[in-house]
Amino acid sequence: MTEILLENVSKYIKGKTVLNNINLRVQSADVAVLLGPAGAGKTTLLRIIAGTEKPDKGRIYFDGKDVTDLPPQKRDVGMVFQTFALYPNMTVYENIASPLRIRKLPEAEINKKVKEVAELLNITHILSKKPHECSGGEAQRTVIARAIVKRPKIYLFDEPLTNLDYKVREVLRLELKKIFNEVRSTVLYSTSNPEEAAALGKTLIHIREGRIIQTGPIKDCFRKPADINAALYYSPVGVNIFNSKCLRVDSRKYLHVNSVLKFDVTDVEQVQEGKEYMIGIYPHSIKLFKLASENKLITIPIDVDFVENMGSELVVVTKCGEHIMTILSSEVERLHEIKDLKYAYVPPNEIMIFSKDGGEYLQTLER
Amino acid sequence: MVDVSLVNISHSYDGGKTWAVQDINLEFESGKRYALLGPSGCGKTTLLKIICGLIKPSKGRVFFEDVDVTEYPPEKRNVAIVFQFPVVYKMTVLENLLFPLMNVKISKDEKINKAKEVASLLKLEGILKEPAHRLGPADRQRIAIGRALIRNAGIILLDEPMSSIEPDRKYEIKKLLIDISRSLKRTMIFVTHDQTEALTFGEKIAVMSPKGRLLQFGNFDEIYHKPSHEFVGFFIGFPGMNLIEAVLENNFLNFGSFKISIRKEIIPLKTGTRLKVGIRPEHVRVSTVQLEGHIPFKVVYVEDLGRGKCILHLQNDSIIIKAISEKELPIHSTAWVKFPEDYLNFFDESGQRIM
Repeated sequence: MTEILLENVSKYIKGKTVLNNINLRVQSADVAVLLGPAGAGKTTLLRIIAGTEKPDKGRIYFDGKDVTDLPPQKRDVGMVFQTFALYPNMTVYENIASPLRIRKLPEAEINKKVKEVAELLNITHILSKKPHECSGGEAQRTVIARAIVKRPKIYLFDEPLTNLDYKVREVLRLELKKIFNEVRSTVLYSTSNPEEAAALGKTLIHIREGRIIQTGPIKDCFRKPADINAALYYSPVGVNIFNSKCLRVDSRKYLHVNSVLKFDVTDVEQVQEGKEYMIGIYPHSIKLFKLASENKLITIPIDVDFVENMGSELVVVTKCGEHIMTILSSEVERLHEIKDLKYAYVPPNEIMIFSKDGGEYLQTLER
Repeated sequence: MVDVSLVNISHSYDGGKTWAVQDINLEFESGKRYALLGPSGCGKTTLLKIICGLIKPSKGRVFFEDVDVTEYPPEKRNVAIVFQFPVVYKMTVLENLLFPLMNVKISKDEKINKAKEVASLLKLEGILKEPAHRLGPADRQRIAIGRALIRNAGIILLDEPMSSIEPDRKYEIKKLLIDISRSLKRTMIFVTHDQTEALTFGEKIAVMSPKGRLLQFGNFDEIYHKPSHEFVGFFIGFPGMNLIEAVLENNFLNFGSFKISIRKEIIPLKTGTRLKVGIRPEHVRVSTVQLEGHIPFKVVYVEDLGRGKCILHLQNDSIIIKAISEKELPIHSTAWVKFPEDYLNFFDESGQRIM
């Protein structure tokens, strides 16, 4: 149970700014997810917390105590890396036991602790295997077991599922969730996959180009992205972005994208006539139908251009005037009729308006 | 434009100690699109190499139309391959497209006309004079596809062709491949470990087991609704199919901690038969209030995917299942669950589909 605090942390590698003045507080017992693209600085940030990397500027505190100058072994942090770094000549059992041996625990206690975590990670049956005899999933389970066996105050996970097959990811993701539940410690987990972030974490830390762009409860962040680029990372299939201009027609105000794509913003005071805005719509906010609707949802005429079948979900690429709009649908059973559907519906409270310059989030069409 | 048949194909790289692929029988009809799908190490690439002639199978025969080509070298088979990492020569795009025609005895004008035809199909017209090796992976892959097309190869094999392409251009290449196959009617076989690519591209999909056996060969509806093996049920879809052990008792399925009634004609097997019942998470019906015929489960974990979709992990005694829900249910609350009969799949103890 430890609160992590980073104050004005910067890191430069080979003249490049990898972390740019990071200020961050991770509450005790939180499961915080560091979400961002490759090269955003996620790994460097985790390494600075673990102590394997020193910041060029700023301080790091655990529960108010300055640990900036403490070596990694004195920080009581467990870290799991993306690559399955195991001691090749040791068995799975010995790999897991290694951090306990460093602490010189009695043999009986080591045995008990190793068996406990092996049980938790379903690897009891491979304890006598060597790492090269393990599958990728088994190796990564072993790495996780080794990180958690010493019950550290802080757990750091650096994209632990990235190099695994998607089916292994499916199983291991759930097990990680169980572990986070069980350890009730502070967890910081990095990923570039928004779905994994949402499934595992409570708090989001969105990092991009070495800066923290947004933090908060995950679902709130996804619903209200800091800017248009954040929205791109908050959905596994990106976000639909349309440039638009606010025009007045008779007594009403519209955000005009093209002749078929226009949104009534008469009641949105913030949007000013003559100015340009960006509109963002998540693919999962849009539903497809055969007929135009009379109800309050916004109806957009579309033509289906391409359907990608993900097994349990479809990515439907549609043409809407000269613009392309992507829709995420769960209706795989309607695969064959999807291409004949002509209308897309979007609830007005899921149509996001962003400023034209800077792409800053303004509000949704309807609150 | 060629039918391909694989008859009783097995291949071993170590003289029969282990088998990379085993007892494969597959027929690819001319002009259609196929996907070979399986986890890494399942023998997909071995099969591809057997089709194009880079490997002679330890057992079995390969036929193109009615001709046994098992002994033919690759150059006699007229098969084109598009690889994972697009290969282009250090020449212009146009020269790259012309390269396969070097030894073809037609006039230069004809060659250039052909190249332009292919270029227009692949939307390469705008960059014909650019140096190919300076282009990004998506453009290089389009050139590689172009070279495969210009040779008039009857069969085009694609070995994980998407994996090196920029994420934002994958859609364009997939659509292009499908459009080409529709307009040119070439037989295309697409090898991938990625279910999305396989299900999107293949009119029929061959699903391989991790041990190199063919588990199912069918279209998406068949694979999704009627998996031939529990592995296929689990491998296709995210999350994969729930598999629960049960014993058949007259008009009931006995899961141990609960029973559900079932019509006899759905599963005409002896009372006492042990089986595995499969149901997809998206087909499990979940209610927060008690309903007739629903079984109480406890919510143990919720994976909220952050887009109006949650994976619920539900427990009843030692049985844990996954269900999809739009709403997030509180942990430890009771979820009332029904398995609609139409969505049930039955597998025997070895994992084979029953009926």
